[in-house]
Amino acid sequence: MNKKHPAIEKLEQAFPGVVKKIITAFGETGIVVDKEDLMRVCRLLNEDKELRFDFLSDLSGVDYQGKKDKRFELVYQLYSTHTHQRLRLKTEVGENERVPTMTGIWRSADWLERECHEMFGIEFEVHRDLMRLLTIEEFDGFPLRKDYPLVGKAEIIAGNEGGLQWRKRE
Amino acid sequence: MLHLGPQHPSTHGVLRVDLELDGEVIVKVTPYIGYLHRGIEKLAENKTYHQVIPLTDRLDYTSPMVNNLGYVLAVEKLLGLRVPERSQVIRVIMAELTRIQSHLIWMGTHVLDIGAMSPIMYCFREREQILDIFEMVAGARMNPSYIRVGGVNGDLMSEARDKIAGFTETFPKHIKEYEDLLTNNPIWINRTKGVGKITAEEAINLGTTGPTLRSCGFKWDLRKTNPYSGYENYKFDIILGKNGDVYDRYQVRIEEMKQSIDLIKQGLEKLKPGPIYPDEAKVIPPIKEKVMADIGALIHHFKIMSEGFKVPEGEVYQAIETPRGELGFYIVSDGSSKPYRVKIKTPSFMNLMALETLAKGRLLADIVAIIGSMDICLGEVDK
Repeated sequence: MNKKHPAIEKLEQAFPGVVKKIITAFGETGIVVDKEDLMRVCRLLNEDKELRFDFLSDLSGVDYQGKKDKRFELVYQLYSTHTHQRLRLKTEVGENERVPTMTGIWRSADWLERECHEMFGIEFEVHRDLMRLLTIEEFDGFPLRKDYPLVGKAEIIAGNEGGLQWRKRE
Repeated sequence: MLHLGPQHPSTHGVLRVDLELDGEVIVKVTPYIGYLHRGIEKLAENKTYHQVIPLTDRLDYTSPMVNNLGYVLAVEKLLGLRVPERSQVIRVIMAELTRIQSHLIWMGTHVLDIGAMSPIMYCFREREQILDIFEMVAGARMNPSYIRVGGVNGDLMSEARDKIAGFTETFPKHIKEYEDLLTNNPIWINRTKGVGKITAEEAINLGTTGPTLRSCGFKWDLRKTNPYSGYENYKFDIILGKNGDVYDRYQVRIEEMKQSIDLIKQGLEKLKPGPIYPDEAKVIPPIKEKVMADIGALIHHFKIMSEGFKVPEGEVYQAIETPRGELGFYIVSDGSSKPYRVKIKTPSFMNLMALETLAKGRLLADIVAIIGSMDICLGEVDK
């Protein structure tokens, strides 16, 4: 694919040097930006009159433990309901690093960020409520990290005096 | 303050909703999910690409074939496989049968929640016919895992074909039965018109897709805008509502069922004899007779069954239109026979986020109608 995705041209015009890497494969386009630029890039993609990436399809974390310098990668799947184009936006996040929340731009980011937080332990800054979503509140660890065992670290058993107890797996 | 669920029939599964009430008016809605969390994404990382297919069945258990299709399309995109024409048509027929089946369950239970007891009997009667077809084609009623990488598991027999053709003849009459019961029913209209309204801008910002979004009059259907599996060759229009309320969602789904019948008819016409798998010995398991006779086929069979086929390095996002909205699979491959990461974007998960906006300021009795009208499936929400 020689033709550049229109979003990349726009981004390079508005903020030179912001796009760190362009990945075109399987008929899809992805770009990598710095975590610090994420907010203004998203805002531009969302608000630009020609691009109008008004729909956040998905947000997922990927754990590249030991494979990349920074451990995690956040992947935003953007979609424009007007031009019907897709764009994948990626940013690298180290352990214990914080990422700005996108709930101000797409409200759909709310639960997606919560899910990402509970599965990978990535903190989102000024998110209104990062409570656990799919696992129970007492859950220990971040299950989708590569170093989390498939069988889990502990299991719940019913306690003698009612209530729940955790039993550690060997 | 009132807790609705998790064991409440009108939550369609195990959903808990905390309602803050002022008299009978809903002030705040907080859904709690995760009661059905099975860690499908984690499991998928530890299985071969082929072994993940049955897991996708169990995402949205009311429309398994569509889930298979979404996953398989993503893997095929990574592999660069070209699926034979016949398989593509069979896939579309199955996807549309699944859509009807899923809409039937939705209608039966949703209407039952609101108080009409009889439609569920009719809906499940017709659903049974579709499940019989699934059993005939795939060998299982509920979790068929029929759509496989490269094609489908077993050709569509002529008996099954006749049965599908027969179903397309009788089903439109049954839709009329449902409509006679509901469309102009004053109680039904009172309970649904103007309830749970949402505008298209809000819906998009909240990530809502599928019939819930189309009921606002917003024209977006992935089958049309980003076609897959040969949908570009079929003639159909995007069905739209107007007001974005519970009643319009009902009408959109009724019309979608009629449209699906039309698509199945078109599909049956397109169904030409031919192979169902591409000629890719490294990915597609060889047929049994060949395994017994040919050493090359035996080796391929052993390799594919034991360690699985290898998928080139890369990442794809494939989205399809399920009965509930946009289902997306984001797969990262590291070149081995197991996916490095599978992220599943499920439509119900995103649609449920809109519950607060839909229900705020309405009466307590409306929350049941609103939850029902969004057609959530908790298997899909919790993953």
